[in-house]
Amino acid sequence: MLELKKVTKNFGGLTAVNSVDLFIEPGEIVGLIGPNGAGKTTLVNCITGFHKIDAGSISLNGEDITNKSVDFISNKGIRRTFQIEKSFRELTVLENIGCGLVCRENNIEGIISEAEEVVNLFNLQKQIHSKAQNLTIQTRKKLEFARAYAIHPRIIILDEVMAGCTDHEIDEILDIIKKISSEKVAIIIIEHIMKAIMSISERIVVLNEGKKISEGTPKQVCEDPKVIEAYLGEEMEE
Amino acid sequence: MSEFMQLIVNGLLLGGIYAVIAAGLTIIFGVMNVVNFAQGDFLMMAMYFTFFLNKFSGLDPYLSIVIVAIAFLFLGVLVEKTLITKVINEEHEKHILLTLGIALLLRSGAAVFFGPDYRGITVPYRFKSYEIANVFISYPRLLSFLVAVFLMIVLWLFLTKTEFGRAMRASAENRDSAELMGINSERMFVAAFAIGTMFAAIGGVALMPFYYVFPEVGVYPGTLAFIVVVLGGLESVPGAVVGALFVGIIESLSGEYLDLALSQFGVFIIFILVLLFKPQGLLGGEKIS
Amino acid sequence: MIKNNILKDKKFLFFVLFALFIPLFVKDYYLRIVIMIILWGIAAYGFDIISGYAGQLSLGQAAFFAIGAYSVHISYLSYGIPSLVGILIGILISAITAWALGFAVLRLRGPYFTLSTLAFGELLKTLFNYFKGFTGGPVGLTLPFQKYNLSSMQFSYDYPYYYLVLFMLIIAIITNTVIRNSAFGLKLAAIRNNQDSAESVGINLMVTKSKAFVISAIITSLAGSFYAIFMNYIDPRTVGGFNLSVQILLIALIGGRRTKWGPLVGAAIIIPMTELTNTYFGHIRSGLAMFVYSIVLIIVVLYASEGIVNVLIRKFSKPAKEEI
Repeated sequence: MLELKKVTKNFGGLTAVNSVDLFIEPGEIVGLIGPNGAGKTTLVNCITGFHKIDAGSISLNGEDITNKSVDFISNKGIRRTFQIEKSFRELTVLENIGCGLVCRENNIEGIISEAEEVVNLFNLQKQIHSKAQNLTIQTRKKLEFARAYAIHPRIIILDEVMAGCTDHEIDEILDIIKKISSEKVAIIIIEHIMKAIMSISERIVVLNEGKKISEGTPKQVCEDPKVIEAYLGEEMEE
Repeated sequence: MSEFMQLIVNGLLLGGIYAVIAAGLTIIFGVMNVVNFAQGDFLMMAMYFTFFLNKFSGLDPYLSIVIVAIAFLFLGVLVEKTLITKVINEEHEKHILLTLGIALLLRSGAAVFFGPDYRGITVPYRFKSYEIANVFISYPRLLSFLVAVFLMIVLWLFLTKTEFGRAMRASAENRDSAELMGINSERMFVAAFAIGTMFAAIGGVALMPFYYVFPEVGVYPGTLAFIVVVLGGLESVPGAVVGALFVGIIESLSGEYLDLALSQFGVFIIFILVLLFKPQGLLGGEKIS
Repeated sequence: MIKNNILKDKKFLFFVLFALFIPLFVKDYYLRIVIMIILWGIAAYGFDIISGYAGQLSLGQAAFFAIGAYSVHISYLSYGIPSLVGILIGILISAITAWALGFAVLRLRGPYFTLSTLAFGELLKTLFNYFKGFTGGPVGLTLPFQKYNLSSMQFSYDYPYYYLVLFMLIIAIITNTVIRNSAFGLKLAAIRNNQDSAESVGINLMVTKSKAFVISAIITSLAGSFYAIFMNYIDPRTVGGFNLSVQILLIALIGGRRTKWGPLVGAAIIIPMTELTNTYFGHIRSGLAMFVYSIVLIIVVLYASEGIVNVLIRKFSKPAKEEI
């Protein structure tokens, strides 16, 4: 469904993403891991249109989306969360999620009722009319996830959405991911919390220094010597 | 051809002063993330200050630079500590509105207390000029340009060679990391605003020998300084310098080839064109979201 | 966030009803003050759409005010077009100007957008001053007496003007309310909060901001056209320029942006204040009024930046339970 071929992104002299191939099938849960600075978020920025790529191609269901604008790609059904969360601070939880729907629906009542369903799925009922700025960071990250999910997109990319969460919060997010995945929504998840990402992902892709160094089931990747070497010296959360 | 060169030279000389004003703006924005709408009006106040100094003591404007600089350094500290600091951590919009309010206060205050008349200083060397290869270089403009050059060199030394200056650059680049390294952000803010104000003031003094002061005089250089900063790529002092010289030349050329009343128009058109085709400014690179 | 259809809003209908009877009690000088309050309120409603809802602070609204004003005068004086049509011409030109200008300036963020609108407003004033043959230059233009009828928009009493401007006010309030409660308003809210994030949920920034900018221009142009019709005399200084843009900003800010009544309330405070200042200190006119404005602006920004209406809402309504 989503095809990245030889995607390359340079910043001045630095090659942040180096000829990466990636294929995502509908409904897959793919984990994207790698040491800090490996290029994971940069790759996401390339997919979603925040960066223009220097070489390679990206296509969605056969349609070329290389270097298209951010809103174009978003409306094609690729939504994301941000590593440093960017929820709409002055708006309420309901309004935030409503924003996720605002380009699909023109009718404000329709937006509200669909948003309310998403609020329920994400267990945000208690805070439904609270402004995002009054929530904890973890709740805001969950809110960003909810906002990205609101249109039941083809692909959701989660960028470190569990950072700083308690075990309970992590389990809650994993539950939500499982529920969503059953609707054939593909999920690309970037995380450093290994326990979580290994348990939920069907497939893992490993980046290091911009290059894809390994790919396979969680078990395969964990035993891959190249992966272990890349993480030597890096903290690995067990 | 020499007429063209004359325009270029005039543009460069004036551009030097614009560079000083724009550098002040860049420092304030770089370190504090505050856009100082009052920059031009501090310049105007300094011009009045210089005028009155000259009127009551006969002091030559170039000699009063040090006095003005120190006075406005303190004024900058005062304004920062009483007003700016209250909104420093809030949205950009509040910064704009506050500095706008200060700008208008200074401007209208000048109109109310000093009246709308144009005031000027006559220095004995007002019309003295040198001739080099068919180009006339006005003596006061040259002096002002040299003041600007000197100031920019001092600034460069300050930012690169002194500990305080390097701390300011660190703070500008990444406030949080700088704080972790023990740099006191509040002190950086006060310093940045004070320096920025001082630069605007010195720019004003430098204009007095061949220009005149009236309440609205700061509007044009202030606006120009913004255009320069945008053209130079927002947070770059060298960019501001290049932008300033460029703008000075454009202004000079359009003043000649367009009607004088429309010379502002020429700069504005260039501004719009640059924004359309290179929004990161003349020197800017790619913006990373 | 969502209120019922404004036409079913009892408070609003009551206001309209009440407003219809005002000329029975308020006359002459005081009616003219009320008319001016409403006029500037309309300009502030226009300002509120781009600067309040979309969050892009425009300090160049005077440009559209001036276009509205000059369109009425020039249409009649140079082409014999009745003022009623002049209003529509003003709207058209303002809309096109905002649309075209938007391509250049709407891609700018924050203070740089503000600055470029400021520069544009001043530029337009300079142009109006410069092309004397067309606009009368600094001397200005006066609408001569034609006849008392609807198309010339000239009346022998004040109250027809009052009903005209009231009608424009109702349009302005309805427009703002509809936007605030619509999907478009939600898009603007997203842009206002975080433009990158707004893009990531599929919002086209340039198109959406442009719509807001054009609507703002149209409403502000209406106000300018009415000013031209009511005052009969205009010149670049009175209908254009930065000071006018600041007055509009101040009115919207002090009243409360993104509220139904804020801009009107703001005008009701600022306009009488201006009148008093001018009456007692008329000889230092523009300087003193602005001096007072700037002090008010600073105080409002520091201590009451959400505006009077929002302060009142906070004080008199039940605090919502906020849970983390």
